[in-house]
Amino acid sequence: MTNENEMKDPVLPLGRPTIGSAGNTGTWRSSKPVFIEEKCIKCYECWLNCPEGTIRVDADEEYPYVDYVYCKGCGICVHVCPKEALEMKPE
Amino acid sequence: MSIKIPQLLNRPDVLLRGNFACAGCGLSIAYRTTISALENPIVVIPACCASVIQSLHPNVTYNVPTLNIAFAAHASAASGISRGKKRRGEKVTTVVWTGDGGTYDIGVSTWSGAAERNEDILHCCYDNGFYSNTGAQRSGATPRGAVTTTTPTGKTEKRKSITRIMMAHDIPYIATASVGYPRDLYTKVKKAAQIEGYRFILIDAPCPTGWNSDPAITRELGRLAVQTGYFPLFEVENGKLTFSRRSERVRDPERRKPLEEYLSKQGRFKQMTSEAIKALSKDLQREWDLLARFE
Amino acid sequence: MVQTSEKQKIELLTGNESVATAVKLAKPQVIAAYPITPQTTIVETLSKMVAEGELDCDYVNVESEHSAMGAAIGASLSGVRTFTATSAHGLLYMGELVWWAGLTRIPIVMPVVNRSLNPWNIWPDHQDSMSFRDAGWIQFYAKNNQEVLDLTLCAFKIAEHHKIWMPVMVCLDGFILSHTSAQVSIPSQKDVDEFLPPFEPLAILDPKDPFAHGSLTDSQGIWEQRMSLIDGFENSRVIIPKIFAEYAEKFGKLGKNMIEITGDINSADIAIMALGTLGEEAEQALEVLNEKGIKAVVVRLRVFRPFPRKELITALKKVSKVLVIDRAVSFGNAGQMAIEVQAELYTHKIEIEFHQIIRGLGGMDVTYMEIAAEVEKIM
Repeated sequence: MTNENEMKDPVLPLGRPTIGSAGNTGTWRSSKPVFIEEKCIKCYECWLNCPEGTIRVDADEEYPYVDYVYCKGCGICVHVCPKEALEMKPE
Repeated sequence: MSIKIPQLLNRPDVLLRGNFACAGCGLSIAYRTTISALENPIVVIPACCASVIQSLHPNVTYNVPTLNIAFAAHASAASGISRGKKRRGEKVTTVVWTGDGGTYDIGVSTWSGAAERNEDILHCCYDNGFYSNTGAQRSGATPRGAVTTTTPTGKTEKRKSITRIMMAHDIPYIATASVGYPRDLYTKVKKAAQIEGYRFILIDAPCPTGWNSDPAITRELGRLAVQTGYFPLFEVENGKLTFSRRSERVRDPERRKPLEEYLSKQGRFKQMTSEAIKALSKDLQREWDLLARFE
Repeated sequence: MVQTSEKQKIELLTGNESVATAVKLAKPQVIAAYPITPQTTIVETLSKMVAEGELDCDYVNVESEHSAMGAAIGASLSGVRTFTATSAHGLLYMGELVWWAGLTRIPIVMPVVNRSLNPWNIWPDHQDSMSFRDAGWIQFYAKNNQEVLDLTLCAFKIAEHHKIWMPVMVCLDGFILSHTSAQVSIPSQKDVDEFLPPFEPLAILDPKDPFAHGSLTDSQGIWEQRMSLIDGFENSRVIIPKIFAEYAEKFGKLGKNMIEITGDINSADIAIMALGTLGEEAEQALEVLNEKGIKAVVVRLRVFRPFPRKELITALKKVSKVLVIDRAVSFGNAGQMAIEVQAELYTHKIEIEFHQIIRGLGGMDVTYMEIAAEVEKIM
C-alpha cells in the first residue's frame, strides 16, 4: 500500500469511562442492603462511605437508594448508618 | 473546616460503579474521596490494585484521564505530565495514585527524585500494608507480626516510616489520612490542592480480602487504627508537624483503645502472641515519639 | 543542488553535538535524561542550551534512565514533543519502559549512543540497541555525524506521522561518532520549521475527554494493538523513504532509501553489509579491493527496523556473494543482522554465497584493511 490515506490508523490503548465495565457486579452479592425509609434522616453517611458508588442520591433532600445492578453487598452502608435505617437481607 | 455531606453530593462520580474492586474495598473509598476533591485531575497509576479495579479495555471504571505506567515509574511519568501541561498552559492537578508497594518499595527512586525536584505533583499512597494486587505478599509497609503469603508466620521486621522518609525531602505538604474519616481526607486533599510542588498524602486503606476482615467494617477498621494509635493522623507543613484532632486526642497512650481491639478483627494478626503485640506496640510508640520531635 | 532552502551553516561538530543541534532545531518541549558515557555530552549540551535560553524547553533532571523514559512517556501523552537519550546500561535500566513506549505507541525520539554491555567497557558495539530491536521502535544506524543530525531530524517527523506514531531510536557508535568532530552542515531554523510541523498529538490526557491509557486488556485487545503495531511498521516502510526523500530534496542530504549502496551494484561480485560506522569503514575498503580486481559494494542498512527487506532483496539479487559484518551477537546463534539477511535470502530464493563475521565488539578497531582482507579470503 503506497497511498497514505488508505493506510490503517494506529490502534491506541485507550479505554473509555463506562458504567458496569466489570459486568453486573450485583451478581457477586449473597445479601443486600435494604432501606427502611421511615428511619432514614438523610445524613448520607451511607453514600459517603459506599466504596462502589451504588448508594445513589438524585438530588439534595431526597432519600438515598441502592443500585442493585452493581451493589456488591459489602454491608458498609448498614454498618455506618447511625439510625439503623438499613439492614442486610439475604438474596 | 468542617465538610457537610450535602456539600459533597454533587461531587463528580470519578470511580464508576460496576468495577473489579472487592466488596468493601478501602482503596475505592479513598480514591472516590480524593479524586473527586480535585479540579482537572490527571491520574498516574502504577501496577497496584488500582490498575486492576479499572476493569477491562476498552472500558474503564475511572472517569478521569488516567495513565497506567510501570510499577516504578509513577512519579517520573507524572513529572512529564506536569511539565508538559504547564508548557501547554493547561491547568491540571497531576496525581500519583499508588499502593504501598509502589511508594514504600519499588518506586522509592522515582518519587524521591520527583520530590527532590519539587515537581508539581500530588502523590497519594493508599496503604494497606502489603501487596494486595498480587495476593497479599509482604511489603515495606507491612507491620511487625502481620501474616502475609510471604511471611506465613508473621513479619519479623518493623513497618517502614514512609512519612519520615518523605519529610527528609522537605516538600511543602505531607499528611496522613484514613478511609475511616473520609471528610478529614477530603479536607486534606483540598488543602493540598491549593499548594504547589510535591505533596504527599498517606491514606490508611483497609483491605478486607487481604486482611481477612469483614467487608462491612472497612470504615470501622480505619477508625480503630486511629483510635488505638496504630495509624496517627497528622499534617506536616514546611517541616512542622501537627497531629490532627483525632490523633491529638489519643496522644496519651492511656487514652487509646486497646490495640487488641484493632488486631482481633483481622485474620492477619490472629496468630500474634501477647509478646508479639507488645513488640508491635513498641514500634508504634517509637514512631509517635519520633514524629513528635517535628512538632 | 539545494535550491529551496536557506543557506546552510557548516560547523565542526561531534556526533553528540550533532544530536543536540538537531534536537534544538526540532524544538521539543520536554527533555528528560540521565547521564551515561558516552551519551553524556548530548544532555550536557542540551541542558546548556536550555539554561542559556537557546532552546525553550523543560529539561527534567531525572534520577535514573527508568525515570527518564517514564517522564518522556508522561510528557508525550500530556501533548508535547519529547526527547531523551541514553547508552548501553542506561538503555537496559529503562528497558521496561522502552517496551512500554513501543507497545503503547509513544512517539519519543531517543538516540542510543552505542556502547558495549560488558562490565565495564565503555566503547562501542551494537549489543545494546540490538537487544531492543524487537521492542516496537523504529531503529536507525548512522554512519557519520552528518547522518546523525539528518536522521535525528527525520526521526521526529517519522515518529509523529499519524500513520506511524511510534518511537524512534537513532543509533550512533560511541566515541567513533559521539566524541569525534567532523564537518556537519546545519540547516536553518526556518527550513526545519517548514520540514517539521509542530507536534500534533493523536491522544492527549485531557480532563475534558477522559480516557485510561494502557489499562487492563484481554487477549483480543492486545491482539488488535499488536496487529496495529505490525501495520504501523508496514506503513513506515512506505513513509520513511518519502520523508527521507523530502529531506534530501530540501537539504541535499540523506538519500531517499532506507539502505545506502556505495559502489556499482550492477557490476559487483560481492556485497559487504555493516551498520553505522562499520559501514563507512567498509566503503574505504572498496578501493583497496578494486586495486586487487575485486568488485565489491557496500550495502548499509540505514534503517534496521523496519527491516528494509524489499530494498535489500533488490540489491542482493545483483551480487553472487554477501559478507555480513555484525557488531553484536545473538548468543547461541549468530550476529543479528546475519540471521535476518539469511532469512530474506531463503524466503526470496536468492541463491548467493553467504558469509558472516562478528567484529568490533567492545570498541575493537575494525580497519578497512581488515575488511578488505576478509573479503579477499572468500573471493
